Amino acid sequence: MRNTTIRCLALVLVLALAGSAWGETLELLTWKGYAPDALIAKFAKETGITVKPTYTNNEEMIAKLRATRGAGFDLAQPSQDRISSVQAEFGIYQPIDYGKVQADQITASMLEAVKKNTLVDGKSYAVPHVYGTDGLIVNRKQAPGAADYSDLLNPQFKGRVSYRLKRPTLIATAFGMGKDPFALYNDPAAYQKLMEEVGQKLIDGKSLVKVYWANGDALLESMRAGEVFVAMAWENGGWKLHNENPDIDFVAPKSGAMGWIDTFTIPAKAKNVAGAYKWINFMLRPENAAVFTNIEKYDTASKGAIKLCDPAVRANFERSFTQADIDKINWYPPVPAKLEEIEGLILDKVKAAQ
Amino acid sequence: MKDRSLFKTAVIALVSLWIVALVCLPNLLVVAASFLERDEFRFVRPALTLDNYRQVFDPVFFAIFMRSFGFAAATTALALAAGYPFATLLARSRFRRTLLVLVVIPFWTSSLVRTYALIGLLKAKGIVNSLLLATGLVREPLSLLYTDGAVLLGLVYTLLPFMILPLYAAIEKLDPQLSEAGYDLGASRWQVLWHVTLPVTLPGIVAGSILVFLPALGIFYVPDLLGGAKSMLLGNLIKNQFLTARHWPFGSAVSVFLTLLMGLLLWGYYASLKRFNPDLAGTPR
Repeated sequence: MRNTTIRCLALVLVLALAGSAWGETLELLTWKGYAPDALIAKFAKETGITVKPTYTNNEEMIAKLRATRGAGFDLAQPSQDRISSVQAEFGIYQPIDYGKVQADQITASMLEAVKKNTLVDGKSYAVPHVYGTDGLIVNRKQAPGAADYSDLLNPQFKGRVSYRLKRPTLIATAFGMGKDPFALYNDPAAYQKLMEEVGQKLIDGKSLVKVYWANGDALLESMRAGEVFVAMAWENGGWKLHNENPDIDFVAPKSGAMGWIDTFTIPAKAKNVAGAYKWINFMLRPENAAVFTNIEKYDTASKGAIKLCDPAVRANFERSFTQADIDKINWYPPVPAKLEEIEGLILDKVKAAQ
Repeated sequence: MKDRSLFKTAVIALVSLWIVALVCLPNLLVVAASFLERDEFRFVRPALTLDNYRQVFDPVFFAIFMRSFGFAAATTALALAAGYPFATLLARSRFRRTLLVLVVIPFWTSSLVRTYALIGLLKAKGIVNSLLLATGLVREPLSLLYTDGAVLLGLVYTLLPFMILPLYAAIEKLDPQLSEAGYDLGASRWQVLWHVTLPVTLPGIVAGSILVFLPALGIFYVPDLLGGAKSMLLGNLIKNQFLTARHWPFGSAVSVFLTLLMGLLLWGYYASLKRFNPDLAGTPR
């Protein structure tokens, strides 16, 4: 009996060892949906490397890598604004060798923005991968004029407005007021003053709000039912509703949609660094990026990939974003530590107001 | 005999361990966190401060306290107004068991799910509006969802059983002879209710009120889901500090404050018990 057990264990051990010895692997720490099976299979065929994805989010990514001081994974995918302060404090990533990244397949402005925003001690730590924006979903029939964040505070749409009480709303409101909150990121006093103005605006506009949404599906339901005409939300939701009701669509705000970018970063103690660069270049190759976009509806930093997407998916982007809209996108800069506390207090004030 | 005492020891040890590890320790951590400073990366910084408690009395947050108490008090009053007649009916009904089961049945479903059911009733294309439109009572759908009224409805609906059950327990024990004696002495129905029934069932009323009032302060999903997150209550404030603002020390301070307050109310409950039923309170068992 005991013999059998030991034999079984030995067999498992041998198989496990063999498994790891048979092929090269790449431990990928990423978001759900960011490593489609079809692409993992294609990558394995091309390079012989087996990608092993672990799905998570920004906070957990940082927590996991902090716990191991950057070991256990070969590649991670945090958002670009969450990298530099964490790197400065904990050193969990290694600098990107941009010579190994095929820059010609990446939208240049996005690569530059990410390089700039992940700069720590003269070195940059990330390559852009997937992006999306905070913009508006508008029922054009009911609210024909709504085109900017400031319309969330437009008395014309009283009782038909919805947004989240989260930091993107504060920043959007500031942009809607013609200010640039990102320019004040490193001046907490000035930022605080701006946020107080923003907070007052939101308090004054509270009676216009139908609901401060928290759940994306509930927001879509409210828009479907005609309870809400103008909302601040992500493009996927707007496009989903557009499918059902052509009056509703995602609109890139006049003062510039606010963009987030999820990146590729290489943990400090990655084992398969060469494989990591291979996956980065593979995922940003236009034909592969198009496969990803067709499935997830998010666009990527891969230059020209969108032209290779399904017409229906492509139509969404082209309808909602002109080149000018894309150029106007305000990418979230890295968040300095102090700001979130200021914002939290303002948000509480807005919530507490009558 | 020996086995049994071993079993007893094991069970007591397990329960004690459970309480220490999963009740005392977390609560102590909350108390400890409330005296520390906020830290961006580690949530708390080991530096002692009283700022979090000072912040509790900031006018902004104080307004939330006052509003929460208003909502909780209104919820309690409505639940009492609806629960007392029902509990009386329950205590005297022939279908007592069936009715009790009906009171308890909602507990079999998560209250979150039941709150979503209320959304289904109240939304623009919901059941209530569809009925009103179909019967021609209204032309445009009413705005029912995302109002203070909806929040109150949700709170009362969710917490009503906690009012009914203690009331039922108190009313059931009520000796009918007491009321009869009142009538015999020429009291009217109202006089009997006021001078006999209510005082005797007061412990039930107080218990029910506490069981409704305290959770009403803490339930965060009802204002979020039914009020459109427009009216913030204490529970939302705490949840928000932990999950969104990531200000654990302040969230902890508010939690401690709320806990102390609840303690005060419970003390009030025992004090009232002692006053109205000295025999009971004098001999704890």
